[in-house]
Amino acid sequence: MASYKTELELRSGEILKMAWEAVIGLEVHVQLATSSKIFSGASNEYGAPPNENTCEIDLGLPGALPVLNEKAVEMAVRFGCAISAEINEISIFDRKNYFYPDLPKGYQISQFENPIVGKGSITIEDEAGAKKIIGITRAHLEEDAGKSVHDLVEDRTALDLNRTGTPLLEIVSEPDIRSAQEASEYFKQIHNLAKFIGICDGNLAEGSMRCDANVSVRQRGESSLGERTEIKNINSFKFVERAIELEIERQIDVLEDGGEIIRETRLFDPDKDETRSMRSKELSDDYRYFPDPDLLPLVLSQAEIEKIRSELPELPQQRERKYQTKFGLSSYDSKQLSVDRNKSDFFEKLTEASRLPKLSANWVNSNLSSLLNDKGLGFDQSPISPSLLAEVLIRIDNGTISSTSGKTLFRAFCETPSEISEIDDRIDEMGLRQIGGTDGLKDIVLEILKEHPNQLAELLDGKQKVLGFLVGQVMKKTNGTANPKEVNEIIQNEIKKE
Amino acid sequence: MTNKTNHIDIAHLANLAKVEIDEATELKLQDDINSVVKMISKMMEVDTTDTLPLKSPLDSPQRLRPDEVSENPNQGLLQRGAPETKGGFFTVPRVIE
Repeated sequence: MASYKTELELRSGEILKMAWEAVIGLEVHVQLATSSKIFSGASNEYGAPPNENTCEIDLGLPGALPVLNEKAVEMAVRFGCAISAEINEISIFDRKNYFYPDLPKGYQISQFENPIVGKGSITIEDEAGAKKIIGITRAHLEEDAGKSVHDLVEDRTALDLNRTGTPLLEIVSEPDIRSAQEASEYFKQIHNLAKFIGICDGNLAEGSMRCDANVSVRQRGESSLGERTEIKNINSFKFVERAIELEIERQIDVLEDGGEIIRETRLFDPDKDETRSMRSKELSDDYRYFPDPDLLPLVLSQAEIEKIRSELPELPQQRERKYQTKFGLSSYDSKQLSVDRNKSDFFEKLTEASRLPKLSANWVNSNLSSLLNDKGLGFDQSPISPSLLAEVLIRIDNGTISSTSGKTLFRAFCETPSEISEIDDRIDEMGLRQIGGTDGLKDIVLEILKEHPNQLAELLDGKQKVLGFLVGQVMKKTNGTANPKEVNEIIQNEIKKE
Repeated sequence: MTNKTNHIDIAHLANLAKVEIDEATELKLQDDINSVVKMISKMMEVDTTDTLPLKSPLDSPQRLRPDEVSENPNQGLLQRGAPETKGGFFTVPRVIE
């Protein structure tokens, strides 16, 4: 346990920490959402019984030869285009040699000196909205290894090689990240982008995205880098942040005690809330990289690259900006609407049909989001189409129905959709048409005032609090079809007359 | 690249390779290997500053495969050659880092 520290000691500790700066680089492994493996025709589906999704190529049996999956290549290029990176027309597959039972060939096919994607960048934003550009050094294609299970069979390691040969895109950042929060934000951005452009399902729990963090610290103002450690296999935004925080603190403590940081691979243990040494770090020499003679150079033409670039959807940050400038939405709403591709597409169709961007944004972010959430559906599976919902919103906006009735109608349409031509009939059938501006509503208001003489007296005394109660009574009487704003006005007018 | 004189110890290599050779053969092999080393040293004299590294000896690009599942699960057959399996897993002596 930490000993009791005086305020002065704590403060001097803080000052000491301020003298240090962290330098962080992230390697994010993105599992590509292809149907088959990167070099074989075995299924790439998650969750099959052990070793079901394997074939001779994945198992590295003698004579089996890899053949590259064109979809994996296309997805890598798509990502490269999305981060405005250089796409290399010629890239090479290399063998990375190491021994571990879940790597049956004894080498992993990866890309070393000539990756498919070169330099690019990603913009992250902190809570205050300040933007920062994080450089991306490269992104390369490689195959995943299998999975070792150590506690299943007594005295044995059990191997499930279903994951062997799963296509991975490894995205390597520049050491531009300066804090645990920035690292987590960067990981989130990559996650959102990869999902948005449809190259990854983004399922962190199933390991669809994992990252390694390279962490070092140096005295503030120092330009050379300190010795770094690598924390392996982190699979959540929260863990990235915590693992890096702990590692920064550990390194500062070691250096301040006059110690030395050893280059090594460390493991983050969320249960013990610590990072601990796994093994000394291999240098690239240890892996004896060499071009894989089984695979010829991957050659892409400018035309192929341009075709993939032109098919790229408008990206989250572009959409976010558009929602603010073109539709006048708040930055919060704009961000909420642009993270998920299907949500964003739904919102755009809804706005196009309704011409009511603000109302559309509110409905997509609240009513529709919570309904889909309850039903466990995505925005591409919405039970109500954007064009039908647009008709509901138009009728709320022009006063045909109240906002409350709009919700009732929305829920009804989610159960049984309506033809657009029949909407008004449905409104009448359900008795949702708003009683507004007519003598009808005024009569009801007068009736309510008569029924509640005490509240009326209080209101006349200037107690505005009861106004809400009276409006509520009218809404109840009209089954929510009245327009509360009009009810309010009618009551105010009546008071003036008294 | 430094042009250091490489001496290759044939007797040591023979020992590592567990091959027994007589003295006459050793001398002959030493001569042969020296001439090979000389030839390589000669090649090293060529200025390759502006020459791109050769990535593949074949002047042909990589053939790609459509993203289709073409293999059926055949776990039984594939595991037949494995020394040990259990419940669909391959098993090996326990390795924990």
